[in-house]
Amino acid sequence: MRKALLCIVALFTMTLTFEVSAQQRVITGTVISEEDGLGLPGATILVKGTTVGTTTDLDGNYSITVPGGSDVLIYSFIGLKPAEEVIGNRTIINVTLMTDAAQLNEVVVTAIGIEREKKALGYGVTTVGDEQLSNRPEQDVARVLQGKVPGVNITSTNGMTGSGTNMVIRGYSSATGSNQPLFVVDGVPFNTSTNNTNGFTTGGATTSSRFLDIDPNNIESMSVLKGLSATVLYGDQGRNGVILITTKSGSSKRRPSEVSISQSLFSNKAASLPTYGTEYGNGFQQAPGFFFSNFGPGLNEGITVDHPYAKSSVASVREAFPEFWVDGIVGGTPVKYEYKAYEDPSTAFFRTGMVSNTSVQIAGGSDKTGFSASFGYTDDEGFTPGNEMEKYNFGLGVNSAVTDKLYVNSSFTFAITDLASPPVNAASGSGPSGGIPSVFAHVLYTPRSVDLAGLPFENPTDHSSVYYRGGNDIVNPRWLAKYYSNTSDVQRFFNSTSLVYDVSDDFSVTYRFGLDTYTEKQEKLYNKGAGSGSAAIQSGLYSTANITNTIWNQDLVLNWKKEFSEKFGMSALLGGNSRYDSFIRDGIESQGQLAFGLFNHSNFTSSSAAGLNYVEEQRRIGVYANLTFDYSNFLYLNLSARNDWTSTVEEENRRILYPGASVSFIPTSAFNWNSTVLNDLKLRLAYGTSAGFPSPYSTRNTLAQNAIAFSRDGTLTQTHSVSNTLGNPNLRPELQEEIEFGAEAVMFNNKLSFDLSLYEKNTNDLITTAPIDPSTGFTQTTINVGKIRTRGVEFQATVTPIATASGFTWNSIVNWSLYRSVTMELGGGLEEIVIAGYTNLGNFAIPGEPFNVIKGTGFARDPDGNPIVLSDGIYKADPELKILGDPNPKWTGSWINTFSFKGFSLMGMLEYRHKGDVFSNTVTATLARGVTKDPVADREMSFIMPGVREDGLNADGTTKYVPNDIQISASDYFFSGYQGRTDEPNLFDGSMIRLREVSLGYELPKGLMAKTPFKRATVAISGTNLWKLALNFPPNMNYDVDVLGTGVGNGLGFDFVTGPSSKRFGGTVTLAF
Amino acid sequence: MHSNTKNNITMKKYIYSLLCAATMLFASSCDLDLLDNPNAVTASTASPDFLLNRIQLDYKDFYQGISNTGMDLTRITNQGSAQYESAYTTSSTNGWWNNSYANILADIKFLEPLAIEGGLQRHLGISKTIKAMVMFNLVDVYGDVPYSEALDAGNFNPKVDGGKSIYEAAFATLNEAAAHFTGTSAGSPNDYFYGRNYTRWIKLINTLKLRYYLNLRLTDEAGSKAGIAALVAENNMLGTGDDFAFKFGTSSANPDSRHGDYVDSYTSGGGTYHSTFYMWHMTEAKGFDDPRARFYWYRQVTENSTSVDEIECISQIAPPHYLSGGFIYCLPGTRGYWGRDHLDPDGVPPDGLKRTMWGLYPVGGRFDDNSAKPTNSTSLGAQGKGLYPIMLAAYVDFMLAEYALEINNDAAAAKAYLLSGITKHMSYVKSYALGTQEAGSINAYFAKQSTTLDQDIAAYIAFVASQYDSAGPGNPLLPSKMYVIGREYWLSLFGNGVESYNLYKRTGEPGNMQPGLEQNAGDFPRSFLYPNVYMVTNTNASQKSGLSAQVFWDTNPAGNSWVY
Repeated sequence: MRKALLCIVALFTMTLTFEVSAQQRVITGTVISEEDGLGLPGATILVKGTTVGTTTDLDGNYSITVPGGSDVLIYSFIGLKPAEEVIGNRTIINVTLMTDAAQLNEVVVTAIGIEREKKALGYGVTTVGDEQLSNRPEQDVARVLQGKVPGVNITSTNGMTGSGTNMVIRGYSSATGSNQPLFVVDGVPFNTSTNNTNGFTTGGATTSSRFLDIDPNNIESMSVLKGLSATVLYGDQGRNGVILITTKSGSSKRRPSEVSISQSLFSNKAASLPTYGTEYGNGFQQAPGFFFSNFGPGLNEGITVDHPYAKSSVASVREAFPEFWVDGIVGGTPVKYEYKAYEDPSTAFFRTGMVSNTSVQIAGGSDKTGFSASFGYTDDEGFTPGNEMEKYNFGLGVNSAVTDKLYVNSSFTFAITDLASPPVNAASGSGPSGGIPSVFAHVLYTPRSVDLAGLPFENPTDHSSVYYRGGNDIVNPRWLAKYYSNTSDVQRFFNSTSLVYDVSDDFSVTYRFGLDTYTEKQEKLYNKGAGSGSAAIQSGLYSTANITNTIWNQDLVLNWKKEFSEKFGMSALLGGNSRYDSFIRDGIESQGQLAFGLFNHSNFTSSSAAGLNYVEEQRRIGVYANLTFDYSNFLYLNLSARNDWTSTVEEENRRILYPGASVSFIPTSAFNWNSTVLNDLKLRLAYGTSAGFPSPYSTRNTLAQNAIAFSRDGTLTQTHSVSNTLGNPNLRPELQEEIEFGAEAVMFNNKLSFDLSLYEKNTNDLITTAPIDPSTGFTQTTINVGKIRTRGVEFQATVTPIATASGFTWNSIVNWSLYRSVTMELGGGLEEIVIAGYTNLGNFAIPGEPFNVIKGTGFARDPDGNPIVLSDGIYKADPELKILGDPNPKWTGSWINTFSFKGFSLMGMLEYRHKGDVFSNTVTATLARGVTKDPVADREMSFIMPGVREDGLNADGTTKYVPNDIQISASDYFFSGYQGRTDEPNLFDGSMIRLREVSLGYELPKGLMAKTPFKRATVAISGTNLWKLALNFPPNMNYDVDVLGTGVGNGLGFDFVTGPSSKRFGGTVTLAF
Repeated sequence: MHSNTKNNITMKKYIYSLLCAATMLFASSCDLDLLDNPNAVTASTASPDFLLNRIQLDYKDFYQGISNTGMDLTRITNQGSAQYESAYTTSSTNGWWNNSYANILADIKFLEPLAIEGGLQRHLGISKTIKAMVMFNLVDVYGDVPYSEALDAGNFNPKVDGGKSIYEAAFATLNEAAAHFTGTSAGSPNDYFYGRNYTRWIKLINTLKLRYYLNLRLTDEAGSKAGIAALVAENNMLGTGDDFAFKFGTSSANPDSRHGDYVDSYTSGGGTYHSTFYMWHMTEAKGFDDPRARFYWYRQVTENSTSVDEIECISQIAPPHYLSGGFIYCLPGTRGYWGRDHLDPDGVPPDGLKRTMWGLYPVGGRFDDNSAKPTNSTSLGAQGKGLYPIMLAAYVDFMLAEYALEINNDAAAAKAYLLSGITKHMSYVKSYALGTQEAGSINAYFAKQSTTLDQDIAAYIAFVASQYDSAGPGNPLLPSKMYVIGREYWLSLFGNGVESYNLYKRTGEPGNMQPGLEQNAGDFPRSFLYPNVYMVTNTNASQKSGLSAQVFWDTNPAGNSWVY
């Protein structure tokens, strides 16, 4: 990617004409890139000491007429190390240009597609090349990025295939607005919404995020613009950072004709299931019984119990299985059921999914026109039965010089993403929330003496779910996985077209058009017969929602540049942008299924709109300008500003202007400090601002309507009600400010380079959906209040400790970042805002506290801070909610090592997260139910909760506390200890170390390849998340903190039995010809 | 360089045409007027009829929220926390505050000008009656709450008004409401309660005035006495057939219009744990069954469980303070009345299809005909066609019994009211039950019994009459006549924790209630803490001293010793 260059630049120089003198000779040859061994189009060849020069053609070939008296040619290409060749008596000179390790010369794509050398940038930009993105086991581009970009925090909602992913760059800037970054693909915005129709307590926590439609294998390069100074030209949408993606089809780089095919195959397994115990079985208080819990007697005692299906309280269950009655006589003697450790859920329920990816890239062209076509097919099976994704990605990019002055570059992608998944919903350890099903709710604590794999899960007479509990009151997880499904079928069309007209050498006009449109059909298909859950779901439920999301985006950009002297130059950019977003969702929800297995709304007795119908449109218009000044290649000044008009506030508040400025200074060049120790040093300082706009429809009051409010005796009644949300006509855009300082250096003959950023971001008059006292008549309003401050540090270092002549290199990259987001004030007398979760257990914004602190029910404590135990031996709850933890990691880091030798390349990426609390119901549910290998304890003993108990009064009338001595059973100790009156025991320190990626690749030697029809061939084996360790979790939980129970959004640090993470392992073969 | 001028001209032309193109592009997309929400109704299209529907439906939910809490506190149902302070935190009653102010009162405020403009007198009458009830209820549960500064979108920090002044304002609102029910009116509202019988609305208003005066008797006995005497003289309060109840239907979907407790219990079993103490009173305490017991509950088993898997407390001895106080513990009797003791925080064993369930009255479940079947089907019983007994004719008599005894010191009149109250409640339950589709199984059951239901009722009333006569100081089991009145009112308040909680705070009756399992269960809530939604948003909010804070009309002695 270092040689990535707009074809415009190549064509520019190609058409240059130079004066040619007499006594000349002609030299021809090819300029080759070290990176891929291919010809380098658009490289410049200059005759040293003259102005005579030329550029290479699309295959890297050149021909230059060298005037007499000249004997040296200079070969250069932006981003590569220039080379000089003495001609001597040669007429053919082939040159390989080496990669320039001096990263400051690297070319990066910045806002509005401007490519600039890194040294000219006054703000931090991190680039990620395709070698870090393609042929990964994960198909979600955000997950592929995990740990690779300092300052970017990426969390999977869970490890299921196609589940949503949360991305936050440089901490939080808005309490109730979005903190998700903007994706810009081939220069135009790309919608990455998570279109959940439900909240996390009603089944919406893991809904897909729509970056899923991007094919990671079709990405050529990615730039992450983190600070506001970098993103100011993108307007309000860029305030949370911008992920700039250039696809292979959208790249204007001319490629030699080549077809490359790669095929990957990976296994996909659940990575974070607990290790199950084998000592104790189902029961409570050491007595056997068909409980949720596993606090029964030892499994080695040879006990048998009556078969649970014969003992069921539900007649239809007892009667459906004569095989569980002695001699098949229903109502006679139940058969005996062995009380032993059966196969545990990790294999009895979860599976090893296969992930197959086929990717084809075809590129080619003529000297005026190039094209790149890509096709990707992925079949990704989740580790959970019923979870599967199929993805087709088609890409086609064309770039062409229509005339000498007019260029067109257009890329089309079409994606089909079909995802099916069993439902996931928040669960606490006693079943899913609100009767909405969740595949993980009951399976993880399946009692050890319950034969999940062997017990029939379906009633043969009516297909209903059957399971071990007497009341048949939990859905059999295997039945759920077979008969419940949430699906999402997406068809997405995306086009980016740019027209560039070079008015003169100094002045060009670009018009860019973007259309991103997709339809997503979401379905819930829940067969009848669950036996538990909400009445609607038990009756059979079918819900369909059709979403159409469209972004029309247009930019018109005028570019002008001028070299005033050899030392001083400037460029100017003036642009206009118009963006229109429309979201339409229509839906219908039916319940009361007639024929089992049939999902058609006519097979249901009752239907409603169920709040699924929603329309939203918004439009924004912006005008932006950018001025850059450069002085003598060591001082760069960048000034930018954008003015926006938005459709989401009332007319008088519509407009907002916000500026940015940055300086980059290269002291090593300015003062000639360059040495072998310090090759290059760059210091930068940036100030940036951005606007934030509210969501549409926040300024005016409305009424809620219910067309089917109540029905009695055949009369259906309707209602109107003043909306609880108060419209705020005075709402105005918010302003965010950031100041950023950075240092970049290249040292020790390019063996070490680093990039350090420090920033502080302040948001004032935050647009906040603030709760207001309901006694005003409204419960919330959107209002400009509050202040959040984020300070942070990002650091990236690249070291090459070893590079031997024999070709062995060891390359090492260290990423490190931290952020501190603090709620400075909320304003308006507000004491707290619930950011995510429940009102009594969630992430809160509280003035003076870290943003997102976890508040919940803590232990009541005596004046010395000891937890107080009540007479039942269990901790007493403090009636006041308390801050229980801070879910923000203290810092995160990763270490990527690559060893290469003669075509072999071994890469390993370690990731570490320091602290950051996690509230995990997965852990406490399994511990409280006693199914895991932890806790290691002799359950026949009695236990005492450490703490104090009340013992009358002291002489002064205060409560007297004595050390707790109340003995309780193991069942009570663990069950009530973890699932008792308090949330406090559910918090764990989230420090975690992980082997995020490991791969071993081999590129077949070119000599060998020459004998085959292929140009290149590589094989690689790779894996993600193969090993991990949560340092302060109970060890046998094998826990993974990469989970987000509150779903994509601003919440952090909650796991409501949201599901395990995934680990993937497999191999890839790539052939090019 | 000869072509410079020409180039410049060409360039200018290009720039000009590009600007034109740009203007065209943007002009088409300059419409920024996208401010009206296309998904919602606006003020200009709001319907007074639909608003009044919402007000009534939200009121029933508001009632039920307080009622369930009141039933938990007065041991009609189980409260499943170990201590009061963890059961009733600032978060517990957010819903009451939200629903009363931001739904009911905000909608009434929006409706009023529309109704006045349209001459919709009856809309005003119904909505103002509901407004008064909401204000009474808010004062009863919280004490001082925002009123005069409330419901103003321009003031995010309304201050509280004294409970007494709100009570008076609500009383005045009742008078206004009464006026709207007479005279001519446009429109014809949907009346979920009385089907547009406005005579009954006036009777309700008079009954609410009785409730008002009775609550004030501790602070203004003379005023109460005069007020109630006038109401008795006017004799226009709720009588038989005038009961103010919200009645549910059987629609299970789109919309689900069944009694919520039915849905919770009959969908897959489980649901509310009933109170061992209340069931003991209804089945064991008098030596014979209350005739209503089979209507109140349905037993899924008719024998007590012997499995500690299912009911752990059978293997445990009662806490010392239960033993010393002689309270029923774990299981009342032997016949499968399976519930939980007060403040029992245990987890839920597999007893969903075993424990005692809501019966036919008032949730619309099954009549207990000893059939002892699991109730995990929504086709059972009256299919949720239950009711919320918000204010019944029977309650009028119980309130008058208290008035006669406590204000007029007229024990004989009080006895007449007491027996009349029981009679009215028994017949209310009976006629409701026989009006449901459970009538067949009720009749079939009683056909097999040696006595009729009416004979059982008569025997019950005779028994209570004699208990009333023998009650008084010196009788440890029946320490006062007010105890008998309170106990019988309480036994008639199944499904109405609003009034049972008020009764308990006002009279301390029925006394000697089953305490919490934890010896020190904390302060019994004499009122509730201000909710979190108010505390964290309103700069003028200041939390009360605790659950022991008493509302203005509760001048009874402070502390738990009085209520227990």
